[in-house]
Amino acid sequence: MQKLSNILFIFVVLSCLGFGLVRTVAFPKEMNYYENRYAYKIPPFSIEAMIENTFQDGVENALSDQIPKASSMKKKYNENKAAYIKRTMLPVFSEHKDRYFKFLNNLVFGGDHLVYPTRDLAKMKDPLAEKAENYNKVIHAHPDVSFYSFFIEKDTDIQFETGEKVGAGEYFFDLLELPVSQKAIFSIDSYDMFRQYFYRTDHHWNYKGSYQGYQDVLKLLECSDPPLTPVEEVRVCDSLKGSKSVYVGAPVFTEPLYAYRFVYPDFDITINGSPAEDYGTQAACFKTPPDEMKYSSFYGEDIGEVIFRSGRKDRENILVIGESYDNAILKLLASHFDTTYSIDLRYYEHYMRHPFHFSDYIEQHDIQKVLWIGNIDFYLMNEFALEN
Amino acid sequence: MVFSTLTFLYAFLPLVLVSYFLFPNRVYRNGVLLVFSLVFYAWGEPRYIFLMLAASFVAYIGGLLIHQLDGEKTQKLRKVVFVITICLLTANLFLFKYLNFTVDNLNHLFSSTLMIPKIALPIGISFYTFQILSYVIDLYRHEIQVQTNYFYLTLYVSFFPQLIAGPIVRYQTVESEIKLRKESLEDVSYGLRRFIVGLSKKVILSNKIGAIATLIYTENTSAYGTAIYWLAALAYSLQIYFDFSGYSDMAIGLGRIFGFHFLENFHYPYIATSITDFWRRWHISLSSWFRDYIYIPLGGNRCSTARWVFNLCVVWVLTGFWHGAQWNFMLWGIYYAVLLLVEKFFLGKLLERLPKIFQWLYTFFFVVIGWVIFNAESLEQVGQRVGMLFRFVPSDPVAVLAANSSILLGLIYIPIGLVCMLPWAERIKLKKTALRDTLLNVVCLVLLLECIVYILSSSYNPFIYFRF
Repeated sequence: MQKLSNILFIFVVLSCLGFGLVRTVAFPKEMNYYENRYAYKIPPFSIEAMIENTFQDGVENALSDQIPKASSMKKKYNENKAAYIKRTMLPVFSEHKDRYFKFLNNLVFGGDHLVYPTRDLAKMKDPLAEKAENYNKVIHAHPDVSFYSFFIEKDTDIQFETGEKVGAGEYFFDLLELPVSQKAIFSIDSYDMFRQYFYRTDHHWNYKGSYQGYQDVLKLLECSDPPLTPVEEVRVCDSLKGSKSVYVGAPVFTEPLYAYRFVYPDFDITINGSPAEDYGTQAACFKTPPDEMKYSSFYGEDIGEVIFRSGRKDRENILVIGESYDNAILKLLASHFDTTYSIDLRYYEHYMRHPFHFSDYIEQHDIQKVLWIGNIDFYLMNEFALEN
Repeated sequence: MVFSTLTFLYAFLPLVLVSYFLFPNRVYRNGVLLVFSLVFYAWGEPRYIFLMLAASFVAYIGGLLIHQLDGEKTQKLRKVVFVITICLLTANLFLFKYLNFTVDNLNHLFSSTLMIPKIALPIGISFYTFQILSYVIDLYRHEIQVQTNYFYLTLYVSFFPQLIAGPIVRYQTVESEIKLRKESLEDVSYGLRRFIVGLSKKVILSNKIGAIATLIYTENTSAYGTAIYWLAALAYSLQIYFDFSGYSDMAIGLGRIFGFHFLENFHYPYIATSITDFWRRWHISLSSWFRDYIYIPLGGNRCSTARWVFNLCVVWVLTGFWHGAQWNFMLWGIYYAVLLLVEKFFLGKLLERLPKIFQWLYTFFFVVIGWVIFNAESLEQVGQRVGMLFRFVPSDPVAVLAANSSILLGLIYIPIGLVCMLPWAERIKLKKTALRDTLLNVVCLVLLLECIVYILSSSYNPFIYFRF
């Protein structure tokens, strides 16, 4: 009996571990759905990779994704951990709404708002100057095109405890050689303002923030016609799958997804070169409310190229170069132009199978206006540079 | 490679076990262990594997010569070979571990600008150098037989269970087992259980409790007052114990699976009732190494009082420096030398008259302070952290939580750690029955599962002794 127990014990341990190895090497899965990315696989072996330790890191990563039930174990653990800390901390969060609290990978402010830490302008000056130089070259090379820049401030642009602002937008605009009337900042001056315009569990602006942003952009673009007005405010679903909440690893902070319903004009929509029924799932969600929803699934994903044709030939064509923040206002903006071209430079080459050439693009599509729109990351990241 | 990685658990361990037991022949089995041990080392430190092989080779040649020259007329030459071998091995350790430190201090002292390239510390160099030294010294003293097979000597030096974090296994402990050992089902299951217990100490207790000390020492905000610094000191004391003793358990367990019987390295050090007692229980393989190879050859305590004090100080300065080329380690060594001297000269007799609880409190108090010195990275940090323990500064609990609310998670594990540092498990005498074994096996399976969940979920996974 004792012998049997020991044999069984050794067998169970070895078979569990061995099965993990066999699965990782021979039958790896493609996706890690919990972490929302491709799953790591065993990397190809080379002496250089071994010496640089990248092979070893790759094997460890592959095992962490591929061993059976890895994601469920991670998820369960993270949920329990986050739930315990949140439960214990909730009275403290609520009593000290004017303080930042580090909560796992995030910060909590205002009692229940997941926020990012404030950035340091000194560290951002060089990349911002580089980006401004890049845009200035494009501006000077195309005097016949009107350029506009819209900087969206968020939690990284203000220290909520002191109210001190980072000033990254102002710094960038000082360097960007455009008339003052062609540059605007979606300014966040206090936590109350941030809470009004941004989600609590996602890094994007909410329906109120994006609608305010749309109106500000219209003014910036000198559009004479009035903005679209919402028909109603709708509670789309009870659970927004927010990026900040996902980053925590567990949905312990939740919020409903609200949205304005608009009556959009009819568009011919092309996504990555192919005709599409719609961009995003707003109409479908208003008809059949989902259980949970992501910002990008609702308003539209980050896509290489989206084209909206309103058929209003009396209007101009606009090129919007931005990132996910503009997803929420693209259809609103498109109703003021003949054709609206939206480019996300992170994905353009991947989906369109050729690099993006700004000069060729505006000539080919008869673009009169170009709008750069995004938050600080858009203005910092090299991926959003042009003719680079 | 370290034991608490998925690569070790899911790839290395099953592969080495299956490959090992596939071969019935001892020679092939040793071959499997050698190959896997070299892969184990190369996985973490591919550049330095040849350094370890070269150090083994020096010991091998030195050993052969010491053996060959063991005649009446060649004693002087034998001694010369012995000294040269020891010097080569020590120089290797000095070059890779202490040269940068020495040059930096010389530059500082003489305002010179002597430049040498920064040399990275090879993993486990202190452990394997001390093992090799023990082989050469024991051979010179005729306490062991010469090993004429280079591969067997290299297997002793590089054997993966004890390679990078000890215990320091003497050649005489495994001399016979290299060639003649018998694996058994009972040994394999005991070894596996011991490995899982060690892994749990490391992954569940050490990492979780250690996160508290790391958070407090890295954030270092003005909100942290005296109580918080005491919490950090306690957390680090538990962390280093469960980390290092866990690693020793894993090494002993793995050794047992392959039929090797390593000596115990820890014996509940935190129940010690004096500093002398503590060092009989903590890192036993290191303290006995210094006792046998430094302290006793210097004269031990069978000499004048002045000489004895000198011997003790030398041993403790070296013990401090063995842990790292930093002044705080030397200070830590001196700290223990002073404590031991005070105990021997004044306090020992008084302590014996006190109730056990006071003896324990005294020992634990000074050991915890010792770890604060040990954990610091500079003398300035030692001053600041030790100063905070004794200067009352109120803590702001909200600010502490604001700095990182994850501290709450570590706090759950401190009481568990305090319970697990006591020898209650040893005192529960269960009869060796099938039911007991089955129960232990089930508990170990649950612990293994928990460890895997923790490893998967946590990126915080350093081994404190990894670089020693």
